[in-house]
Amino acid sequence: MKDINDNSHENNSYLRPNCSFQCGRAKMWRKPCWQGPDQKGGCGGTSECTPYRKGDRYECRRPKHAGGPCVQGPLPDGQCANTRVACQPKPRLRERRKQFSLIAVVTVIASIAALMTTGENGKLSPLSMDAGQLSSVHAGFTREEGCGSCHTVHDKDALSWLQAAFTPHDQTEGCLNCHQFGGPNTAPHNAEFPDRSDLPNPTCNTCHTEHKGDNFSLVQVSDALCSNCHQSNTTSFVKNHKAFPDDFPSSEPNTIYFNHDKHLGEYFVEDKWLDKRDRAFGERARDACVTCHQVETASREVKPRPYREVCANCHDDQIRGREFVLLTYDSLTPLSGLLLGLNEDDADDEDIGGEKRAELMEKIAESGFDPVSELLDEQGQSDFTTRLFKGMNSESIRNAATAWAEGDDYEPEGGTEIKLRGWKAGENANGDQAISYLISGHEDQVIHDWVDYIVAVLNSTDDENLRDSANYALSFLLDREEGAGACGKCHQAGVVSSVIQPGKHEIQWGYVGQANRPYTRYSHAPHINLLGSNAGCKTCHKLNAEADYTAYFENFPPQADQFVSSFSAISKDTCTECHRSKIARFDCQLCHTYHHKPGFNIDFQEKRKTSHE
Amino acid sequence: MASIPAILLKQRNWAPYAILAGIMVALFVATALSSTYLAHHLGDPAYVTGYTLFGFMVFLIIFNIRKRLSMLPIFKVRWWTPLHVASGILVIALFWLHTGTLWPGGLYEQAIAIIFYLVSLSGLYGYMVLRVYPGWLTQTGIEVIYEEVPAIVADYREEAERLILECTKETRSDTLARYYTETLDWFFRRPHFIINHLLGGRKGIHWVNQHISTARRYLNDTEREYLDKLNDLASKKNRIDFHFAIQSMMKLWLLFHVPVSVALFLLSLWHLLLVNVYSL
Repeated sequence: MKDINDNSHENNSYLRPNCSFQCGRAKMWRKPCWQGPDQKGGCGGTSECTPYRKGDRYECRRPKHAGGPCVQGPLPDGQCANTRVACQPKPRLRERRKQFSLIAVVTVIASIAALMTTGENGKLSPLSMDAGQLSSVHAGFTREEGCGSCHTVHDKDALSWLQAAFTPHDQTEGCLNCHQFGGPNTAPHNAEFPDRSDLPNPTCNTCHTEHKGDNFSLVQVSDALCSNCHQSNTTSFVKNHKAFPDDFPSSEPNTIYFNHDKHLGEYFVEDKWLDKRDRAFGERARDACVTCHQVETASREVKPRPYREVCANCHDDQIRGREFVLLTYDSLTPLSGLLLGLNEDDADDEDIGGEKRAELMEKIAESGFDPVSELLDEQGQSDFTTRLFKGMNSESIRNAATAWAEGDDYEPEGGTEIKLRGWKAGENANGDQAISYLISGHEDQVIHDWVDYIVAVLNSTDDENLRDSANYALSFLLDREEGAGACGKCHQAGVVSSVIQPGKHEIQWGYVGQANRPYTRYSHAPHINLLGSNAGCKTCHKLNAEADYTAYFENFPPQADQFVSSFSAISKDTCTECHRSKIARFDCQLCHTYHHKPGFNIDFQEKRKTSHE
Repeated sequence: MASIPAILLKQRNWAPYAILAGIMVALFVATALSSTYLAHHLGDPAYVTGYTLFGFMVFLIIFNIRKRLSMLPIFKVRWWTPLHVASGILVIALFWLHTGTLWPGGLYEQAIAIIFYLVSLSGLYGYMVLRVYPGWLTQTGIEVIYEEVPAIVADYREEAERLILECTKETRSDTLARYYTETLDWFFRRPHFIINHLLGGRKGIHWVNQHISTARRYLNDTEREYLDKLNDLASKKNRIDFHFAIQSMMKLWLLFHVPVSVALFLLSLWHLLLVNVYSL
């Protein structure tokens, strides 16, 4: 038996560990031959040695470790006398590893090739390149065209693939087939920032990543991306976001005058007002903001309910039946002065104003309403002719003018006591002979049109005299105490702002929300749901008793810098009570948006097809 | 036999390994910082993590080629091995950094992930094998060339059979011969108790002892002398079995690790191509 610690060459054969095959006998746990298999896997041990010819004799060459030269010696023809049945050599582990590796290579290549085989419509099957499920918003429109919907190189030939591999890609163009924005598509925030030449023009893929599953949010990005351009060192809303402005969020002047402090502190509380008005409503409103605000549609703002629902009960009587005097038999009002193009001084002047008035009355007496139309034509405001005097009886006016020219009072048929709404001539509420208009109520169309007319004159003429006249007429009409229709009591600021900055502002009769902040968003809805619709509002909106809310509205025209909200500013600390770690989100995108007016191209399907053709 | 954790931690000189670990940690941190920088600066972090990952995968593959080119003086294998192991562990971290998840979404990416995890697990298992088993082999007190095991087993079998024949002739009793045929012959045919040996168990030697002691009570003194020689032979054979089992595992894990690594490399290459064709 061989000593396993004896490693001398005389007692050991070379084991050829690098040979790809091992003796078949060894594989069967029998004694392997000393020759071992050949390189091709054939048996090398069918004879115990290869005899060597020395002179004319053959000598046995069996090595010592295999027993040394045999007794029989070689056969005469030089063959070994000790032959054996050939074994079947087996691959060694190294060879097996090579084989398995080859199988792995073939399997991978075959699998990729098989999964890439052309599917329906001659398009590549995406299985071998499936980068992950698309988001639900994109999965639908790619269903028919597959990968080619976005990846233009898909379904192209091998050369195109090769070119694409070495060509930078920008899929932005493809995205813009469907998506559109309110400004330059790839500009930061879809807007121009002339002062920031350092800003990059990111592609869609810079921020949005697809193939992350149907529930993946494409729009959610890291806060760190924002800090690329916003170099304010803000790393966290809680830690170092800058404080909100002192007037946040009510920085823009209100268009409607509504004094929360007065209403909640007096009108809805004190008996003298409750007894006079609507006690039930007042008691409800003082405790619950939702009495007046439409909590059902709460979003960025919780808009007030319409006038009819919340204001009319108390304020309708203050409007209906008020009188709007165009002119009296012996004097002009600022409105008739504007028609005649007279400024405040001229209209009040006995000579100038009196002469113009007499002239107008004479013409009306002669031809009825036509002279007024001519005056509007001269001012380029002929559109208002029928609107301003809607419902006016031309004959009645003519008769009144005739009577007044003859020094008589005019009394219409049926008498002046009849309180009809609309235009009339004769004795008015003050006992003067006048052409006047009785207001029908809130949103009276004639009053609206008169305001529109005045604003149209102001916005269209450079004639200082006419502008003075129009300003005088506007202040007269919108006077908060005496103005016809009492419009100015609430709407003065909303109307006048359209005059202060024409073109930028339209007449704002109704409620206009706070400043348009295109890159911020906020929704009252989840806050109201969480905090409750009544007391919850007061968590953030706290009345500021010291604020001089009325100052802005008392000036004519109102000065924007004088506006102070009835409510205290909302500070960042109010938000961070909840929007902090482990309680509620506080990332940038919670309140800020990146894109400006994101939307879709209406014809995106056609555009997409065209771009692919 | 020392416990596996103790062997894994046993190291005469920690300094080079600590330096190597430090380098790998530094490389990972550098890659992570670069990726974070890109992510924060409108870049594509997958670009840097992906190419770093692929680079290290190429380096890991080169280890196999290096072993074949033993004539080239490109560092010693004793340096390549820890580098390979350290790089392998780094690559696992880079893979997670690159994918950002333990389990990616796409079918193809999932296929890569499966193969990657198989390669990683087999690599970690191989590292454990290479750290633990050599110590166990040393503790046997003998050195056995793996390729010689069949010849040694055949030698022992022949010796055992020779002893049985000699005993039968000398004692003119076939008790030991019959007992050998019924029990020990199976043991000498080929290596046995492979799994038990791999787990560091002593089932083989217990089996031998049990059968030797069972036979002893039926034998006379002369036969017992032969039984003692057989016992000695069986003990040696058991140690050869142990060597065979351990050395086989030290080679067999590569039978899985290398082909799967090759598959992973090809899949990664295809992934790289697709990414460049479709999105980069």
